[in-house]
Amino acid sequence: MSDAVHPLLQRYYELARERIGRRSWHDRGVVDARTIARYAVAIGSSDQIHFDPEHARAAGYEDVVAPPNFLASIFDWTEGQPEDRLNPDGTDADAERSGELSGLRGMGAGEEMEILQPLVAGTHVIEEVELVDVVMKHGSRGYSVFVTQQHTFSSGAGDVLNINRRTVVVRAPHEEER
Amino acid sequence: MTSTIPPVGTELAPLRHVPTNLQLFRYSAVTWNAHRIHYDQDYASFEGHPGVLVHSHLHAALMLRLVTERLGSEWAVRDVAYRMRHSSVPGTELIESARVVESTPDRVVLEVAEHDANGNLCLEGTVVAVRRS
Repeated sequence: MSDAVHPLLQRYYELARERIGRRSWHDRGVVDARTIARYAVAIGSSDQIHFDPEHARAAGYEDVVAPPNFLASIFDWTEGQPEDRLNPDGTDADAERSGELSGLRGMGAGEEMEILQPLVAGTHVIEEVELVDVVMKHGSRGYSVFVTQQHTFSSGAGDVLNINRRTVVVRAPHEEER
Repeated sequence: MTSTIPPVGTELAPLRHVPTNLQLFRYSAVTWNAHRIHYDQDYASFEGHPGVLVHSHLHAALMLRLVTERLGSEWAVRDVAYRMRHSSVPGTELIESARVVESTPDRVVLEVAEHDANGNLCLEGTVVAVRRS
């Protein structure tokens, strides 16, 4: 493994640094009870507050309530790109790791999440995204870039539901580590 | 569900779970996550992984299941902070654990961790739960 920064990773780092502070706003639509229930099934939960409106109301919620990290977990809120427009790793070709940078590898590294209100079925969700930090680090597996975005989810009425700072670690293409 | 306030030092009963390929597929589907490292064995190998990887958010969801299921519906998760330390693959058991480090009538702070069956620390962090009014 080379101890030098891979040129693709260096390029990605420079481009990402230029975007620090940029914000965008997105209307994510209405989260319905079926999606909440499917998420609960996918994580292995059988808690009826995620499935049964009567049970949820008895527990003090207005409707079925999403598991705590539901909002943070949705990878793509859009309908998605056609398959021939995705990156080789399956991620959105309009995202930052596309084109010449599509060989870079990314995965979740951690998160800080503040849950101010529960998300219940029928909520219209607005998301604000801000790139807050981009850091190059060197570890046992060579150089990595840690990219942190803040996601602020609000209801259509303007109430903040959830603020999370999500970090993704981006590494050089695998063959370059050999 | 418990109505008592867990004292400092309380270890919540661990949650043990073995993710499957089917679970990873359904988690990718419901979160609309097309990242191939979670469902394509060949692609995961190409990237140097030992197999398809459990999503970081699924790790976190399992950890939060431990907290919410053990504390009960009188408590709500308020703050969460965690770091991923080790990836894992379907078929490997994950053990979620939590210990109370601060406790008041309205607020509980837990140190949380997830280990795999091989003893690797996969996730570590802190969760703050508040009593629902």
